[in-house]
Amino acid sequence: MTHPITGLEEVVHQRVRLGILAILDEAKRVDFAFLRNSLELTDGNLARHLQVLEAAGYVGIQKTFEGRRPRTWVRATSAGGRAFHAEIASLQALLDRVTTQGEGSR
Amino acid sequence: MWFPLVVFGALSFLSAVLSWRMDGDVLGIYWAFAGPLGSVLTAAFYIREERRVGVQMPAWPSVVGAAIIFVGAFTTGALGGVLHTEMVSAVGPLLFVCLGYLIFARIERSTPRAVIAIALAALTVTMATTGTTATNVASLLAAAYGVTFIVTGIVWWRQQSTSA
Repeated sequence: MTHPITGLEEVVHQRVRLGILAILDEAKRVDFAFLRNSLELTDGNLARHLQVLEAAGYVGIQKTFEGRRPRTWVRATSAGGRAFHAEIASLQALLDRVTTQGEGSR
Repeated sequence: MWFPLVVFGALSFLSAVLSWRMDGDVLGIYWAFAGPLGSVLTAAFYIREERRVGVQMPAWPSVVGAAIIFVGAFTTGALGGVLHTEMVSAVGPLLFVCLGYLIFARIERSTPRAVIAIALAALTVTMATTGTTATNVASLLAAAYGVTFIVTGIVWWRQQSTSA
């Protein structure tokens, strides 16, 4: 039986990117400013993580204008949603394993 | 979710006032207009809020919840007329409101709101079995629903305002 950490994916597992996908999992789409404020990031930092997720095909980015104001919307793709839930399942398996071992050694 | 509670609470309270003054047919017509009006106001509020906050939620759970309330309420309202059982017309729609509220509590992952929905359903069944006339029961329950929704809506709005 393989260890649960083999199911973790580097692209998704990173703290900020996991946070982005967790927020997107609950919403249809979220704007750039909301993600930046929720995750307490700078514009540049968030943009870099979004580029990584976009390159992996896990998020879609849509640039719009509301009046003269530019607005960037981000949504999870179906592949992004699947990757996020696979990551959570692997973390859950790891948690179950650690908890079971901890109870056994007591 | 405070806005629809206040809107539909106010509409429920108004329906209680109407039902004291007029007969049941007027209430059916009232809700045929008030229901869609409340839904349009709620949809407009959410579209504005989504743009302001920057989070767009999937619309389908709310649409399904609202559809269950309206279809169930109008069906049981009409069923009571067909069966000549006024109490079914009086409390059936309200039980569907409770079911809808329970669905919205699930969407919002809110245990207190689920408890309120179940308490209102229990109050409805209790009054239906112990109340005097269907008109009195419907009026009292509409007033109770209206006050409960308005109060919980205002409490919710205040919680959101202080946490923002």
